[in-house]
Amino acid sequence: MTIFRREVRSGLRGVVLWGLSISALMVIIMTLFPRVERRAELVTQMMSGLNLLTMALGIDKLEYATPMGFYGIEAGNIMSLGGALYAGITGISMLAKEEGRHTSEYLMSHPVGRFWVVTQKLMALTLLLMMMNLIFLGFGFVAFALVARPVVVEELLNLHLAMLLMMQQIGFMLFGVSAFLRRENPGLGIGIPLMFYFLNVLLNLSPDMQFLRYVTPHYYADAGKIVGMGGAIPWHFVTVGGVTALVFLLLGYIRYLTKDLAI
Amino acid sequence: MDAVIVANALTKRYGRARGIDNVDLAVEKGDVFGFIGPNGAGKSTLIRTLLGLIRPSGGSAQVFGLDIVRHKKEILRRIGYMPSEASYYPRMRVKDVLRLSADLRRMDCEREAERLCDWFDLDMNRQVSALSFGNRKKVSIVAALQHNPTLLILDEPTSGLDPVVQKAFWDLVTQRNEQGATIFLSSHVLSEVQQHCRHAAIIREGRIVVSDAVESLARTNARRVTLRGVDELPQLPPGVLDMHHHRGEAGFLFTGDIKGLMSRLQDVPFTDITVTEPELEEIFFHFYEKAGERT
Repeated sequence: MTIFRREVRSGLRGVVLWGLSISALMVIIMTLFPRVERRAELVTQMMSGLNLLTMALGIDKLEYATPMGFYGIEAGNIMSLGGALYAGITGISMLAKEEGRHTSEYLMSHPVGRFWVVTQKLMALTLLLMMMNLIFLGFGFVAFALVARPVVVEELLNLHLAMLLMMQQIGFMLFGVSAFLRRENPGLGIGIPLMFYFLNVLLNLSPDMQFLRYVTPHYYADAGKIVGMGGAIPWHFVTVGGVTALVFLLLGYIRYLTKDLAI
Repeated sequence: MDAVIVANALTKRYGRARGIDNVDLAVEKGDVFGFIGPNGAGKSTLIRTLLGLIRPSGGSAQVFGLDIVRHKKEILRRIGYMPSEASYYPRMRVKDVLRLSADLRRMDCEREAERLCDWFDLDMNRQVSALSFGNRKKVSIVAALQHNPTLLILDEPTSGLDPVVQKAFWDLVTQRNEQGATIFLSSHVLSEVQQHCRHAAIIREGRIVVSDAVESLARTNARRVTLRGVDELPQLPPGVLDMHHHRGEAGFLFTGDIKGLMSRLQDVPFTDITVTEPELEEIFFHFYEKAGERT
């Protein structure tokens, strides 16, 4: 498990930096909740005036003046975008960085099969994303504690679980793509998660684009679907996303196991 | 003797570009085998194919009698490889690189790593990113040797090393060879191949031009002929290569009939003549020109 340990150790700083930065934003925004709550009527009125925007962000089903609703709207959006970007950037570089940084010759001249290299790196990516989501969850509880409001534990846990699954799907898909690259491509790592995010915005705006529910993992991690649905994760779409991620992974494995390494 | 490396018509093509073409090669156990060719001739491609970093397009090769494609892991376990230019992970110290290398082999090489770092006067606590090219090269030598491999594959091992380190390197390699390790190295420094290798192969444009004992290569019928005090040369018999004629001194590499040459020179008023065995470098160019004429 040498490669796994190395990847986790080298990714730890990034996880902590991203995790803390996004969590800090979530907590700061959550501290605004008591003021929102005091002006609940006005805020609800204002939100209803922003019809298109609330629909686009999938928050039209959430109650802005409730702690879970506010958390789902504000923290949920920051977390899903920030986390997806981290998953994308980390996933796309996992395999390609060895060739891009010319370390593949050093690594692969050791008696480690390529299958295990890919597997250990995938395990490291999984753990890094879990660590990041644990940071998010921990600070989620901190945020509720700070504003001294009761937390609906099941809804919060399910929201964070859906976020983790969404980030794992994006991370795995781009990990698979990474096997086809000869150098790191952070543009793809940023572009694809952004595309998924905006596809979800488009889906929320256009009821006739329902097929996008099967394309973007942001759909099943949308706070409006989970908090608004009493904490239930739309597992049907998670399964579709999981199968898509597995296909990308399988292709990535096949490619990495047979390719000539760029040195 | 057992062959440690055997290649049969081993070929690697990069699309239409040539890598190596129908390479036949045998390196015996305990040998020091030099693989000579200029940059781009295919030396590194052959080495990377043998190591399984790239897949052959044709032919086959065995290392320790094991197929290089199917038994890559078993082969790599017994090999120490030193690339021509090593790149390491950022934010690592020398000892981290060496420990990682040992961990990847599931071995504890700490003592040997320390001994080798002492040998090369290499500070184990320095960041690899802060090291000079020569010092990074030392790290890759130590990483290649610390697990006491039975086959050492060294790609241009001395390029970038100062003469003192080169000597330390060759002393160590000789020591390992005396202990039974087989050495397979690529180089474009012919003098070091001549000095340290027992067998050598010359590669040109991906093809092996000649493979033989260094002694036999140097013992070809080619001779370096130098004439002094000569103003004009007559028509010389075929087999003259690399002719220089300047200020009364003429020199050339002669691969033809030496008696025929002598009879042509009988009437030439020269003051001195020397006929010597050429250096490996000259033989290298001789084979290069011959192969060039053929292709």
